Amino acid sequence: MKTMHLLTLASLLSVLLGCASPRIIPMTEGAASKIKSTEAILVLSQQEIAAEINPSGVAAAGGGGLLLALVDVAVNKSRAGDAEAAIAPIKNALLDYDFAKQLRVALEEELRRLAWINLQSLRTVSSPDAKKIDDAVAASAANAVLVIRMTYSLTSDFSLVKVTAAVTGYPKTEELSAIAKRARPDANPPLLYRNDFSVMNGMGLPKSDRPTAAKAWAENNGKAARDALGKAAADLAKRIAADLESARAKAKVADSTSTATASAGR
Amino acid sequence: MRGLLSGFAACGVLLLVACATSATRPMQFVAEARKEASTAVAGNCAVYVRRVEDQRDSVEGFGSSPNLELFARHIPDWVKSAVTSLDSAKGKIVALSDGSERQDGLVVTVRIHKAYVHNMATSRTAHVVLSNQYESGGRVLGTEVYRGSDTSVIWSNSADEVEAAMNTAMNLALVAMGKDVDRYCKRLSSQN
Repeated sequence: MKTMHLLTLASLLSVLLGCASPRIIPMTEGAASKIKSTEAILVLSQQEIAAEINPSGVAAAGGGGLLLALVDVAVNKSRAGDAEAAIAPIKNALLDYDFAKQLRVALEEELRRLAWINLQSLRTVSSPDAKKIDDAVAASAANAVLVIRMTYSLTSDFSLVKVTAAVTGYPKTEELSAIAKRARPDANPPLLYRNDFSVMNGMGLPKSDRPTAAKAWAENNGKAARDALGKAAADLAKRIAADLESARAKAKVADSTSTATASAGR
Repeated sequence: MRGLLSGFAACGVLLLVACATSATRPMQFVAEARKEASTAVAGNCAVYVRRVEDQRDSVEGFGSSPNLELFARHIPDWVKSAVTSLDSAKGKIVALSDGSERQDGLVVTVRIHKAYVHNMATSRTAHVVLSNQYESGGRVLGTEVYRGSDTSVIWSNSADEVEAAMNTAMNLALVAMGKDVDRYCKRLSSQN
């Protein structure tokens, strides 16, 4: 009986993990100098800031069971409802605030600084539909496509604004695809780059409770929230650009080391 | 065994959340019975919806649920049908098809700011944010913002389930809107 449980779990895990590509892929060595043009696609499906919740762990603590799993579902629903009610004043204060535009401007500014990626265009996609994003990557005429999936939220205690980005670089030429496949044969489809980023910003002193924090974020037409989000967008764009640049610098050093070794060998 | 069962239950929920069914038709608004009756308005008050302005950042985005572009694209029609379902204390609100100016009664310009769903773990919150600009005789009387939201458990993650959640959110926004319509009507009738 025990063996059967283990087999079932193992098969379930293999189904869930079987198609997973590695989470972090540094910019592939040798690819940076071959990129003649890049298109960036910013994916932001959120229309407003989200409120995080602490997920209920009754089933885990109680040793599992369908009934306790359903208790978790009910508790999570109640927490999500409370969080939505608490965040409403902040959302109302940010009604005219275009966070996608902030991200677009910050990313474009930072990516344009990286002359070697030759940024051609940056566009925003509001649908989280994976097929649509795949189609957009396939339709791109650039050498490489950088897909930047973003989320933004308030932590469950409303103390911090959190902005995350999952960045994936796709090769679009045969040459770049071959380099990506050589470097990471386990990645399917071949990827030039992948990394996750997260930036959190507070407003100084933590507030005693969620309603007090919500009031502080929302007052003066959401000034604290606007400032924190704007800063987070700028910081995140800088970190993405710095990571891409450092990967290229490492690749450059590796290239020159191998050239020097080859020259010394002659 | 219990751990295994809860694992399967969690996986089942995850699979359901991940696989939303596509919308095959635009959303249809269904009005809920109002819990609170409108306040009495003295005199006659004709209420006209001059136009519905779509001010969303994207007409295709519908939040974190994919495959619902059809809902997103037809949001203005859904909003128009919802607002005109609202009965003022003195009769139904009438939508002006030609966008013409009316000198009599209360003229409303409805603006759509947000209409989307946000999924979090096993819950979904539907959001609608509208604002109304109230005018009479060419004079702006005021602008009010209405937010309706509904948090519910994701059971099937079907398009019908999303539609029902959006309708609940809209009905909540309409409660506040109905009160304002009556308030502005009362103000107009006291001026006449």
